[in-house]
Amino acid sequence: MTAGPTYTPIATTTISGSSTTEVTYNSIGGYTDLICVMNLAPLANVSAVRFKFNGDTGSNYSYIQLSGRGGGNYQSTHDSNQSSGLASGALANTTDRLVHTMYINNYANTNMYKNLLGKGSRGVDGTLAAVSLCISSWRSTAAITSFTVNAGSEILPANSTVTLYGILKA
Amino acid sequence: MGITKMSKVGFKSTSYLKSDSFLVGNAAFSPTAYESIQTITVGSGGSATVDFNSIPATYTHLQIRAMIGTSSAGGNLSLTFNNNTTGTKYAYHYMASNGGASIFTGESINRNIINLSDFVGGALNSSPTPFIIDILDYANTNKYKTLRNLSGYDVNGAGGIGFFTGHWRDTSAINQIIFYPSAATIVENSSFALYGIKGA
Repeated sequence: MTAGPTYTPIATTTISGSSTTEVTYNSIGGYTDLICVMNLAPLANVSAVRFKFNGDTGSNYSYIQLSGRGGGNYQSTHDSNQSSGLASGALANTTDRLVHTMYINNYANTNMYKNLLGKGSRGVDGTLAAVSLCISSWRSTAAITSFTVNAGSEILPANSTVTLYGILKA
Repeated sequence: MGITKMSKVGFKSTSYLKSDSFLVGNAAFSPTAYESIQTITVGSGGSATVDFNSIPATYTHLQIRAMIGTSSAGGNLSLTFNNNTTGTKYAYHYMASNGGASIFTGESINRNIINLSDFVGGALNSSPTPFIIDILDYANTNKYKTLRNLSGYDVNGAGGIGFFTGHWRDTSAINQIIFYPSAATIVENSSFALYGIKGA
């Protein structure tokens, strides 16, 4: 009945230099689900983590997110017809690292729209959202073969890491 | 047929190493601690329940990764352990959002189920709802059981996201998990994948 060990690391990218704006993984295949873990170093400007599937920049993305930073400060937001998805609304800033985890279930299924469950957190409190839960959908039934993650229009800071894992079901 | 013997006869190079292991020179295989146990894909006509039974007690934690649709939108999905549907041993807490101005937080105690989500999207093709459910120390007979779930659905900005925790006041090892939708059925091709996570 069991299919054996899974949760396989597919690729890890460590950002170096000061010119990388996004990380893209192509030719993704052979798994049921994907998990992407991003450890984002402090950024020059406030920014959320966004994503694209198959390089699509049409108005095919949307999201709903719940975020907060303690002390009764929270936000509940949504948006439609976006050119990229929202992976996490926990906001990067100039002093703190963030960890974002993104779950993409059934990414190769061609009978349903795709979505991404995201959670992000920043360890240090401040005036920006420190934790975020997010569901973001892509209105396409195409199998996802390419996954791009970025910090909006910001340069990804050096020493940030991105790791993509694949999970295979029984 | 496995290899039982190798000979150096015919080797042109003399710079070989002798070893008693066929693994020499290769990186050691290190399997991950995360194993796929079983996947249930709902068949034609849908189903009122999804049932994992005879779950082995050989792992430390369980994770269920599901992608579901239901026969009507906006309902919820619940579960029970070990088919315990009587009494008041369950409780759950949650925080959730539909993207509007408010967030929803709450609790329900002394229940006969654990509610996992109030946001299930309905149609599987256009509003699929993913679930990531973690059940910790499920086979430990010295503690009550707990779970957490992250799930939601999004139809171009409409839908919701929720984070739920659940509690079962029972020390029994969990060997069965049954899912129940508030809608009539979980639709065809919805999938529930059960994974086990080993401890050291």
